[in-house]
Amino acid sequence: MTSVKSILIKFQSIIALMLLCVVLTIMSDKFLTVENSWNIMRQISINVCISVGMTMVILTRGIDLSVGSVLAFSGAVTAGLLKYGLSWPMANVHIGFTVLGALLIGLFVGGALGAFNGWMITRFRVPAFVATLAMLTIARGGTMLWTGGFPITGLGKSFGFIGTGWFLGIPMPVWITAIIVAAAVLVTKKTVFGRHIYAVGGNESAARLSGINIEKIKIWVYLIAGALAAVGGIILTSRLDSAQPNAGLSYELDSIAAVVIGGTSLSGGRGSILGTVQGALIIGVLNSGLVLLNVSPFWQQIVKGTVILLAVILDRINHPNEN
Amino acid sequence: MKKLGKKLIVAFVVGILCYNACYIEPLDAYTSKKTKSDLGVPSLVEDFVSNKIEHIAAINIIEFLSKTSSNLVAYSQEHGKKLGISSKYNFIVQGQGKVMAIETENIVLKVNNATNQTIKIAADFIFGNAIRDGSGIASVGDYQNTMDFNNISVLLNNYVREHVVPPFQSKVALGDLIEFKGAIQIDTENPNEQELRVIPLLLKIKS
Repeated sequence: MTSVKSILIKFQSIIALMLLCVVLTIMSDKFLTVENSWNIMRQISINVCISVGMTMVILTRGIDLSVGSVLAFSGAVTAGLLKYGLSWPMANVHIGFTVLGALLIGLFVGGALGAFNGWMITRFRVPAFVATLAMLTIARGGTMLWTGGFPITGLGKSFGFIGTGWFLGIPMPVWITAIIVAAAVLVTKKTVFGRHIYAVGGNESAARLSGINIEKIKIWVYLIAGALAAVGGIILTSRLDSAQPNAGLSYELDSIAAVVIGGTSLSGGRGSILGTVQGALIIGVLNSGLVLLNVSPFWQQIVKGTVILLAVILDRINHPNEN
Repeated sequence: MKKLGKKLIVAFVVGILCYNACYIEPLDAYTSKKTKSDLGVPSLVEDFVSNKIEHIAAINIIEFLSKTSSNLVAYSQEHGKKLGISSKYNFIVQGQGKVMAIETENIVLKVNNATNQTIKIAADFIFGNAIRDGSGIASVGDYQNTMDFNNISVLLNNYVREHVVPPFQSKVALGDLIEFKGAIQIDTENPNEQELRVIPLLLKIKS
């Protein structure tokens, strides 16, 4: 009996996902089609990118509320550099950027903002909730300043390939997400850095006493979260062929939802990247199913909130002794 | 020695990335490449309607109807113009047709006597971006502010509403032979639900 229970607990996300798919297949004949499956995969790819970083942050017992804004800012910087470049009138110099250059700087900006979050949290002991909330507004303001409040559009075909192209019959965003997930699984499960992430989240004092550089781990984790938010921003900008100043609004909530539904403990130290992918899939499938069933968007929000609540309650029941 | 080798490899990779990441040019040379946005939307539209409509390349309507009826998606992808990731393709078409009906919103023309094919010339409800996107008067990349880009369509549609349709509508009669040039939009996402409606740029009564 105990083993059955433990199996059910271990695979709860997959079981929930499969049940959801079966129910939606019965209720809508358009759900289980190749086209809709690719649609769901493409739609969740951005959330998965952000959520992988969020999982690492939450594993260290932190939180990053700034990912949506960092996504928007990185996407806008990438688009702006690609389209307009940088001008330096004093020196009569204009620097134009190739797609590669714009991508690298976009990723750098995301990583730098994430590292700044980590530095604030470790150096000045600012609670993660507050530090990243501040970054949420700073990055959003930066996006508005950079774009002037208008979308940056017309970014070219080669940049558009990142978000809308197909390679070997699979959409590019899915490839990018798969590579990120594979790398993150490898890092968290097979490297010293990965074990340190779990150690910091599981018991920070014990980790410190065992010689782990907590500050360094945390800064790196927030840096990775920022860089992955930038990847999400680049995919989104490419898909839309425009950088929108209000892109990524409330993406942090979808990301936290995916992490929580995927079984990662908000108390840190327990969870997995693959669980988060399952969580993102559940949200994506739920979104797609509710749209196909013509459920009102207002009800969709209520259903999503209820699912998140149920996931946390289930987690509490299964792990009653965690803080 | 090993460390130095690693550093050299990293420096080489960074150097290659930087070399391929950006290019530098004098600001004067960059700014001298005049963009359409420098011209301003009203001037751009005025230049287009005064000097370019007559000369703009257009597809013959009979060829257009024949090719789109055999493979609408492939033909649109090859010859149409679209904006970004939209599935709506735009064309500039021209031809002749006999007036079969005069409706409030459209004038129906028979353009092919052999097949009795008809098309509609818009006489009212002139909206959308078919002229702007079909003619290629400007691309979205020309404008930092999308409102300016959208205003091109507003001004072009106003021009059709005020200067193309009214003088024609007051004279046209059933049976007239009409020569036209205009923009047409096709949505490849719904290939079976096309309403072929030309937003006119030029309308002449031949007889």
